[in-house]
Amino acid sequence: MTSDELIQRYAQAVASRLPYAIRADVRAELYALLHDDIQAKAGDTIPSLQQVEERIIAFGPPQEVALRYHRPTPIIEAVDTPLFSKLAFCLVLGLIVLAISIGLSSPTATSAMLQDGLKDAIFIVLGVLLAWFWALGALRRAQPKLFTWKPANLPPVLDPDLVSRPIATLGLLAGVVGLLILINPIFFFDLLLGGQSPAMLAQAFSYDIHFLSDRAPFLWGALSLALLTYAFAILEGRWRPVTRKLALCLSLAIAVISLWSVLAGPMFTATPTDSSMKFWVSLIAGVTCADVWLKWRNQTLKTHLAQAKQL
Amino acid sequence: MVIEDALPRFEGDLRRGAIVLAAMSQLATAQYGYSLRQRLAEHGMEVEEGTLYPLLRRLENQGLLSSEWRIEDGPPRRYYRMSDEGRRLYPQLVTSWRNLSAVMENLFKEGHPYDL
Repeated sequence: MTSDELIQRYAQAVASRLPYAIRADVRAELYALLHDDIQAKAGDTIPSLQQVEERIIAFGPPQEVALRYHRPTPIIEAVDTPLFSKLAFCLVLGLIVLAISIGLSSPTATSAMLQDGLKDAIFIVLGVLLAWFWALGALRRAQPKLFTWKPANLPPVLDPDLVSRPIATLGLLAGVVGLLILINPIFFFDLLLGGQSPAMLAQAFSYDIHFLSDRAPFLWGALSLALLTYAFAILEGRWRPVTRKLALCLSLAIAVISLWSVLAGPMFTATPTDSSMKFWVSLIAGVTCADVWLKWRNQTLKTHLAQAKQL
Repeated sequence: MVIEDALPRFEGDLRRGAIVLAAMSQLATAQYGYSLRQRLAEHGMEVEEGTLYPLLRRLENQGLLSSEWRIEDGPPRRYYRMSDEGRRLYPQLVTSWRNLSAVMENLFKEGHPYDL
């Protein structure tokens, strides 16, 4: 290879990474510039291959030089990257929890089937998310007025420890009703239907006797304690570090007991109800675990920040 | 040393804006990339070729420079010069630079407790 060929190759390597419209122009210009530069260094002699190599190394790798000539529009803009990362992480985590819930509740689902399904679902979800953010960026570049920032649109600063009593009370009521239904679903159906539930319905929602004697007391107990903690926070009007930690520990305990309940044996006597219940209990346990981890992390960060402030 | 690593980075940041003005100052008459770099170097403004040549194209895309291919002694070369838009903007940029420079000088005089 001659020194001139090396310059041509370099100019070509840079130009090939540029949009077609400016490719030939940049290639010719870069070749002329490098040629002049190298020839000036070599004086009256023909530049050696080593001299050319040294100059083009100083000029930079072709991909970096191409970026200096033309910066392509990003697929995901820097302003959207934190939201994209958060959504991608949550969706992938959600899919993993969903796959585990299906695995725990469905006796026919094999590990290979679940892995394949999970892989496909992750690729599809991430692909759709990527396309969505790319379209958002393109729209922002095309119609900047649509995305004009206004101070009035800023969200209010909320005290994360403050408990909104009306909303929290409604939440607590819903939790109590849900727990009562869970403890005695037949009674709920009797109330709903205004009398005796049909035998088929009663049979479908009858708890397994071993579940009722071994696991249910722990599950109902942990759920009741969690509701009591929540009620205490409502009374106080805010979450204190102690109640926050207690609520987190109870959430974790509920998740562990739920998973134990699912894995230890049937929860309902009827197989279809048992499968459905196991699916939902696993799903809720998985979501609870993720929630506990996130809250625990925030709590730890908050504690570190408070300690740093004291120092 | 952190300071030793930081110096070229901060220096690069400081020079980035100055290079645009430096290049424009020499483009009242048409220059091609290599001759412009030589002229800047003669005035003590060393600019890496990998920085200067793409910059010229960017300034042309922004309308501050215009260019044409010419064949004189040697291979065909692309010559750049300030466009009408660039000529209008250049004096304003020079004024801004002088003002900024004066402000910085005052800040250095008043603000630094050590000898420079």
